[in-house]
Amino acid sequence: MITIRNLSKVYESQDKKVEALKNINLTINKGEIFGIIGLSGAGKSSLLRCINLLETPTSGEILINGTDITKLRGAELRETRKKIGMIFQHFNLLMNSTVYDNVAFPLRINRVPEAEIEKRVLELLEIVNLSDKKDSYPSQLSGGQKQRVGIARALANNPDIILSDEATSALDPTTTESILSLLKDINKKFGITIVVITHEMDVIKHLCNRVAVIEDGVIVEEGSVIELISNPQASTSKRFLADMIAKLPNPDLIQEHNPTEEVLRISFFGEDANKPFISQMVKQFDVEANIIVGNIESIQDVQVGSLLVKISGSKENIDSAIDFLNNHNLRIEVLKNGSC
Amino acid sequence: MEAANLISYLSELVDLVLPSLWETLYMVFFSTLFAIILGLPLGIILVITDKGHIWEKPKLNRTLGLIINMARSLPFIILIIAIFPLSRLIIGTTIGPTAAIVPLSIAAAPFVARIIESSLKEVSWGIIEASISVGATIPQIIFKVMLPEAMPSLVLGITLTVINILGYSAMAGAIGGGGLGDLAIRYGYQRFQTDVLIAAIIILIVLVQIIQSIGNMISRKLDKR
Ligand SMILES: Nc1ncnc2c1ncn2[C@@H]1O[C@H](COP(=O)(O)OP(=O)(O)OP(=O)(O)O)[C@@H](O)[C@H]1O
Ligand SMILES: [Mg+2]
Repeated sequence: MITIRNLSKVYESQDKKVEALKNINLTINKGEIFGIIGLSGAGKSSLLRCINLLETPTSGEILINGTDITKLRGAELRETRKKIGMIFQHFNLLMNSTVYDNVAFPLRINRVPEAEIEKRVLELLEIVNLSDKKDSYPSQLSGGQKQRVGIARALANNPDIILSDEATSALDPTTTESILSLLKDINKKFGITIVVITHEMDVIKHLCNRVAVIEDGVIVEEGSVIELISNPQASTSKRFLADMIAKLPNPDLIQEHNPTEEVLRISFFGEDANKPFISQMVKQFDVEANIIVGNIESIQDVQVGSLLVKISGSKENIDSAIDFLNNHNLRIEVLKNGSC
Repeated sequence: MEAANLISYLSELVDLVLPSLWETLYMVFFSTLFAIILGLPLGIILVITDKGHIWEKPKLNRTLGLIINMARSLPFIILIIAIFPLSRLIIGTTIGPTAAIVPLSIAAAPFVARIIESSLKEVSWGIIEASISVGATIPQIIFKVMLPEAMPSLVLGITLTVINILGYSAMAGAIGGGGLGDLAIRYGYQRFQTDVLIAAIIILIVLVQIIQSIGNMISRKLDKR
């Protein structure tokens, strides 16, 4: 378990101070995949790099399994780092060493006997599916393969935690997906806690159990991924989720207000997605419903969707229909002229 | 000139030039070796004590940089004369190729330090952070990460050093150090034997070409980027 208490980080150069992290409090449970999402410059890397003390916190505590690592120095700190693997956006591999030697590197640093190293490296290359590339050099690999080497290296010392700093940001969507599922497998198989930072909501959606949204060095929202997606509070969260919200293809679809017609945005998730609420509404209240746009996504086996529906009928019937929907635990927004 | 005469002329020339060539190779080899032994640690220290690096020591960094710059701004010929007494102390004489190795090594060391510094600075900070994150110690980062990663560029730097020392060694010859430079001056300049001068020059040119080609080849072999 990682507990971060009152963590602050101030970067000081000659003339200016940057407050990159402001009083961060966060708990990351053992064995979960925790995401930290934020815009560029929000402080994601600073936060992640404090967890293995690549960056020294200005104040605050970081407890890993009860030990405050900010107090560690020298050999103790190095031993702790061996149990925290890290993967990087730009892979950071030894370019003049083979795949095998890159994966063996942390073990050699740890003075593991060479025979044991060989066994472990071959096992790791099997896990990341790169056994056939063991004698290649990084320059001969694709981005995705390089990241697999990075992951194998991070796993070498059997870490309790893996920190991922934008590990998929340099990769194309298909490769990203395969790396994310590899990380997921590793989390499941070995129970390793994974902390990922990203600016891509997709990474959070596919990988994480819980998420924190960071904005200007402050955690503005924290919770399960489904909670965040179904009901985002902070403006940054809403911005990240904008793609998932059904939008009017053409603003002219809402003319000046007509009492017999309303455009509704209906957001739903979980079991509600499977209920035929629109057809029930149509039957029960004598209104017509015309679906303008909609999308449903399955996020970690939970259906999440957003629909734009134009309903027409008498004003009373429309009002009762909206009440009906509200009572079904759906989130309803009535779109007005000018909104989208 | 008849053929027999030509042959005896050439063999005389070879007999004259060959010992000097050996002296030069001997001086250059050992001077390079000692210059690296002196310069490599200095170059490493210059890099790792820099701001934000793995062993930040601003004062040491600045002082060392200053000393190296001062040593490098002295003309070589002055340095060599200034250091000659040291040769007497270490080797017991100030004459001959062995004695020249002392000033040559010392004069080239600051140059080597800068060459090594600039090669090591090319190593990406990301890979150094990756090694910190797996718990590497400072010596491990230097010897298992920085030096191997910089090796292709270090080899080119050392090639440049060898060629520089070759040039210096010719100058050392002028004040009794022996070697091809000494030969060229004694015969070519003082006795007007232009042919000996030309032979010495041709050999030096060929040596530089060979050294550079070997350096390039090794560097390319090592470079997997
Ligand atoms: N070494 C540093 N020195 C000074 N300021 C820094 C340093 N590192 C980061 N900062 C500043 O701290 C703030 C947070 O940076 P950080 O790298 O943590 O952001 P980020 O969320 O990771 O951004 P990105 O998505 O662009 O990587 C930024 O304003 C940045 O300019
Ligand atoms: Mg970052």
